[in-house]
Order: sequence, then structure tokens, then C-alpha cells
Amino acid sequence: MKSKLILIHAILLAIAFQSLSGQASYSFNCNDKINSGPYLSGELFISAEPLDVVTYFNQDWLLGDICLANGEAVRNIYIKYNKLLDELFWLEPASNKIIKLDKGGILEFHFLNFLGDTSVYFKRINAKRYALADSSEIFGREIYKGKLSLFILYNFIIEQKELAIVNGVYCEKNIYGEEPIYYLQFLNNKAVGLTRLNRKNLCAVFPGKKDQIKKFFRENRQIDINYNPDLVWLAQFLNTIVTQ
Amino acid sequence: MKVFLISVLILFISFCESAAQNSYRSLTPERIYLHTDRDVYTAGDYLFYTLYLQGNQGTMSKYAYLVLRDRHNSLIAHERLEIENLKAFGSVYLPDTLSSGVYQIVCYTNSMRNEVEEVYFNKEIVIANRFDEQLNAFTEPFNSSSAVTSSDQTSGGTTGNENLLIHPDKEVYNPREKISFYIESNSIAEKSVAQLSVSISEIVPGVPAEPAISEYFKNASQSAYTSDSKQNSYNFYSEIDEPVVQGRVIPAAQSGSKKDSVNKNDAARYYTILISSPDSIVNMQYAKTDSLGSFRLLLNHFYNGKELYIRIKDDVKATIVLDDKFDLIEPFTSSGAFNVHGIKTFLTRSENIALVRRSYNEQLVMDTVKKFLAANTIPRVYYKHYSSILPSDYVELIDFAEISKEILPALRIRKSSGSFFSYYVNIPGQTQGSTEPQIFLDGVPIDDINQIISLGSRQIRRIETLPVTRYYGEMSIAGILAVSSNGLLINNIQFKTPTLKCLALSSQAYTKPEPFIPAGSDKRIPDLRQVLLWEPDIIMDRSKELHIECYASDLQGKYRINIQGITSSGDPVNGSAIITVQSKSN
Repeated sequence: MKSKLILIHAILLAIAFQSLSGQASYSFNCNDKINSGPYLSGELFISAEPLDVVTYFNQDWLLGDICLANGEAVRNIYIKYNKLLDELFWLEPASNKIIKLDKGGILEFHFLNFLGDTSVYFKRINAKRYALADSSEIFGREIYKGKLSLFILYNFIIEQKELAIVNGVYCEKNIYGEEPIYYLQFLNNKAVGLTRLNRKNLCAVFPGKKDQIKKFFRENRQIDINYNPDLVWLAQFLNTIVTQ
Repeated sequence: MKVFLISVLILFISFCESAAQNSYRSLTPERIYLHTDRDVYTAGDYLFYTLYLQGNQGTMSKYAYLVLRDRHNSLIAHERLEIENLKAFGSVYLPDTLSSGVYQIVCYTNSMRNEVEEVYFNKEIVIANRFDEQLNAFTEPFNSSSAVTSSDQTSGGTTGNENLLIHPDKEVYNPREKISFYIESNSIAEKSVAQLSVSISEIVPGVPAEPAISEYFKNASQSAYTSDSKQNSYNFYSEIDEPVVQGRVIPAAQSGSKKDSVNKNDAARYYTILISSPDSIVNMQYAKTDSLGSFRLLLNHFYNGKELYIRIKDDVKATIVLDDKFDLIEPFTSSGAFNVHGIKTFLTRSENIALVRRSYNEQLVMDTVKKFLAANTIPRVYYKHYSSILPSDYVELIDFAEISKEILPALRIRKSSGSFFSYYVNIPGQTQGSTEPQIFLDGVPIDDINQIISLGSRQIRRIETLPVTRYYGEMSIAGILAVSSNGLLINNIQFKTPTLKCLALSSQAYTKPEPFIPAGSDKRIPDLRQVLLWEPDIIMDRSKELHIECYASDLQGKYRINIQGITSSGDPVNGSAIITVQSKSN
């Protein structure tokens, strides 16, 4: 009886070993990947004073994908976007340090899951941020993509300053107020920035389409530009009237 | 009860095993077939080819390698081919100085290199030097009866397993007459197209026809061999998108007598390999070696055909050995297929034809269908610099120490024990003066400031500085100093760390000969083409018959219409037919 059991155990072991070795060689052939880029480039981010958490688009690190300017893509990395600085940060996994990524090296980035929303894309566009300044590169959140694309730049203004105690020292703390800028980008990549997406501003951008714009706003008085689906609706309408 | 449990266990384990094996088998190995315009060439001719690849859809190699070697295993030509839609085509120039003999073409992908070389596609061709009258490289059998038998074989219209039907408008043509035929097939699946290559070339008497693509792939798929680990020093990776560069760092001490003990010590050492190319933009790719000292990386398309500097970042005494993709281990031994009765007569005739064509100054016009240029997607180390300084804007400074002192405020250079050391002041996250920035000269990382310390304003065109802790992937850099020289001074730099300078491979352009147009040719000039048609890139739809036209030459004899191809679903298709060209008087 004992010898039978030993024999059965030996057979079992042999079979198990054979199947494991087969699987091992298979994984060697297929899963041994090459780790050589693409590389994210940026600089170590050390802020003189901590950034206010309200200035972050996502306060926690979220998984995202980045499309680089050289056509390559970096996937599943932890990123954070700061609306005040208009900069994208990367949590470098090896050193656990925060890296401010080179804006010029990024075409667009995408949060895989932002509060349940999987369609949050930011794109680097060239636009005027301030009326009297030259055009600069900004990260705009892509709301609608079409003949006429709509982006939002989450701009901040300092509404007031208040005294606060940080580490036992009195200091002045900025209280920020969000003042988004809406960019309408045409197919020729020219972007027009509007602080308010109202009838008056849109009529100024499309002077030949005043009647249609007025009609749209008259028929849709309830439109709320702080609500994303309404923004998409407005962008869809603008795409119907734009001629390029 | 126990016996039952054990039986269940055995059954379960064997099920797991068979499942694992099945999934492994589902990955069919890649196989290559090469269709050439003919089998016999004269030195100075072009060899035209179309390469077909069969493998797993979605994970197929993008690159194949073609080697042409002689009987002494010397490489005559080697090319990297870029595969698009399961095929690649092009040409290889056969130098005028080649001696007469049998040569071998070998084709493979990088992933095929994990198997034994027997699975590589190989084909023998004959090249005759037109000044070689003796043709001693060939032997003819004394008994001509065997030759007759093989000659009979070639005279047959088909080579077996044919799934393309060729319908020539007639069997016998007059010299310079239009040859017209159409192809039909029922084996092309619906919603699928076939990509074909067509050759019409003179039949070499006695030489059996090469196996067709269907037959070759059928036989090749039944043979899968894994390579002996002693033969290959690397695990070769599929080049699905970018070419793979791989190599090994061999520490200098390994050549010493205590080889084994050194190996164990070095196994724990990981080196960083930097790859870059001289350019006005700072560019770099890097990879880390594994515990055995091997490294591998997917080379960015930007480097295609460019000069590469491959160096170890760390200061070690070692040698970088790059994997040579054209290195074949098995020697070439001729099968003797061309040692047939009448081969010398045929070759002498071919040599004479080549001489006559030369005397009439006949030039082949090449049509370049597609070029594979280096991409503009530069792997940039940084996108924005803090300051860019043109030394020519300032008063002339004699060396870099002076330049840093006068016009680079953030950079400090100090001298100690005869050598210089540079650092950026007040870099956040770094101890001041502890680490040298990464210095680039003409886009290539160099060892330290000593290598450029002698450069003055006259030699330097531009200096870019980034006095911050930078990250490039996982690599941390204590600032960047990028110097562009007037006249690529990087070529004069002597590196302290092991460095290899080489040329990155580039893919061969898709080329084919311009079609022969009789109206443009002078009738007084003899038309002595032995290849009546070579069309490497024809697309055939199942629903339509494919009509092809070409012209017979003045050379009388038997010609084979040889069509090979592959459908978009990866199924091979082929067909052949024999036609004759003879004068009206015959």
C-alpha cells in the first residue's frame, strides 16, 4: 500500500513539475518586456510654500495616460493637475518624488477615472491667457472636439487675502476664486478666449450668426455653462453654425 | 475514497498542463518566404525580391533581416527590411566584382533568432562574373540522364499546391510580342485581398523550381525548433513596432584568470546604458542592464540610420558588446542544386548577354516606391531651457572655465588635483557642489567638464543651462549643461567610460524596376532581357480577375510565370505557368 502511495505521489510531483516548467518557459518568451521608455521629462518640484489644495484639479494622485509630443504614450501613471500653476505633476514611482512635467513635451493627458468620469482629457493648446500678453501654451480641458473645439482653462484670481498661522508664524494666505476661461479653437488651431460664454460674447465671435445665436439662447434660457452637458450642447450648436 | 481523490487530482493537473500547452501552441512561430525575380544573375545585376511574413496577427515583426553570403560565409549584402501588410520588397545590388559561384540568401526576423537557423528562410542563387569564362565553381554531372529527368520536372506547368490559376492568351510568343495573361483564384477568402509578386524569367534548364510559398509555409509551420541556449547569448525580442537594440556589458576583469569569481561579483552590478546621436537637440534613450549584464531597448525611429553613441554612464572598466543582427552561426554549404548538366552553357550565355547589354549601355531605371526615413519624434531630454547663451554675443573667451565665470552665472567650475569639476549653485534638492550636472556636447552626453574645458567662444555656438534637478524617466540629473559646438566636436571627444560608436540600422527603401516600354526602345538595339517582368506589389481582389501585360524579349526560350503571394488573412497563394518565346521562322 505504501509503495503504491509513494508511486502516486511521485507521478503527481512529476506532472506538476512538468506543467510548471512549461508555463515558466512560456512566460519567459512572452512576458519578458523591454523597459526603455518612453521617458517623461520634467524637474523636481519643490514649492517654497505648500500649494492650496483647492487649486488642484484632483487633490489625490490619480492614474492617467499622457500622450507625448513625440507621438509616444505613457500609460497608467499617477498624475495631478494644478489649476493655479497650470502644471501637470507626476509622482515618480522609484523615488516617490513630485516631478513638474515639461509642458512642451505633453500633447494631452487623460485621467482614467476622475470621480467616476472616464472622459476627462486635457490638451495643450496655444492661446492668449491674458488680454495684453502674448500667446502661451496652456492645458485646456477638452469639453468638445469638432470643427470648433471647446476647452476650459481653470483660471484663478486672488479674491482676498487673510492672515493665517502656519507653523506658529503669521502669514498672508491667498483666497482664490475660480474664474474659468473658455477657449473656442478652430480647425486652424487658432483659439479665442472668452471669460463668459454668453450671447453677447458669442455674437462678437460670430458676427454673421447673431440671429441663430440669439434664437438658441432664447429657446434655451435654462442653459447653465457651469454644467458640462450644457456646455457640450452649446458647443454642438456652435459647430452647426460655424463655417470654415 | 483516497484513490478517488488522487485520481481527481491527477486529472486536474493534466488538464492544467494541456491547457497551458494549448495556449503555447496557439502562438505560431514566424516564418518568412522570399520570392526573387530569378535564380541566376550576372555580377552587376540587381536582385529583386518580395518578402512574405506569416505569424500571429497583431504581434508580427515589423522588421526582417536579409543576408546575402558567399560560400566562404562572407557577407555580400545585408539589409533591414520593413514589413508592411505582411510583406516587404526591394532590391540588392550584386557588385560587379563578385566571383562566379553559388550564393545564399538568408532571411529572418529577430524573434526567429530564438530558434535554430534551420528555420530561417534560405535560398541559393547563382551569380556569374561576366569575365569568368571557365566557370570552375560549377561542376556538371558526366551522366546527362539525371539532368534530363530534372529538366522534365521543370518543364511542367505547376509546382504543386497551386491555388492561383494563370491563363496566358497563348503559349508561344514571338520576340517583342505583347504577353497578356490573367489570374483567377477561389482560395482568397471573402473580404480579403491577396498581395502578389509576379516574375516572368527564363528557365534555367535542369534546375528544379523552387518550392512555392504555400508548400514552404506548410512545411515550415510543421517544424518549430527552440534554439540551444549555448548557441544564442540573448533572448531575442519581437520587433513589433520599433527595432530592438540589445547587447551586453562585459567587465574588463572577466578576461582574467579568476573568471568565475569575477562573474559572480559582477552579476549584482547594474549599469546604465545611454544611447544618443549628435544633433542640435539634446536627445537620449537609456536602459539598465540586468543581472547578467545584458541590456535591451526599443530604439526610437528618430535614430534610424543615424550615428549612435552607446556608452555606460558609470565609470567602470568594461566593454559593450552589441548584438549583431546579421551574424549567422551555421556555415553555408551549397546543396549542389545548380550542378546540373548545361548550367555552364546557360551561364556563358548569360555572361555574353550581360556583355552585349553593357556595350549598348543599357541602364536599369529604378522606381523608388517608398523610403523609410528617420522620424521627427526626437526623444528630447528637455523641452524648455532656463537660459540660452550665444558666446559669439560676448567678448571672446579662451576656454570654458572663462566662459562659466563670465557668462554662465549659475555654473561654477573649480580645479582640484589638475582636473576640473563643475556644479550648479543652489539647486533645490541637491547638496551644493556634490554632483556634476549632466553635460551634453552636440546632443550627446559626455563624462565631465574636463572634456570640454579647452573649448572657447570660437568653438562653441550655443550653451543651454537648466540649473534644476531634472528627471528623465526614472533618471535623476543634477542639472543640465548643453553645449553645441561649431563643427561637431563630439567626434573628437575621448570618452573615459566605455563607449561604442556605431551606425543605427535603417530600413531599405521599397524599390522595383520601371516597367519595360517597347515604344520607347530602339528596334536596332537588341532586347536581351532574361526577366520579362518583375512586379513585386500587386493587389488582387477575389471578385476580379487580375490582368497583367508585358513584352517578350528577343531571347528565345522557355519562361516561367511565377506568382507568389499572401492574403490579408495570412494564407499563402501561388501559381505558375510556362510560356515560350520563339521566332516566327521556328
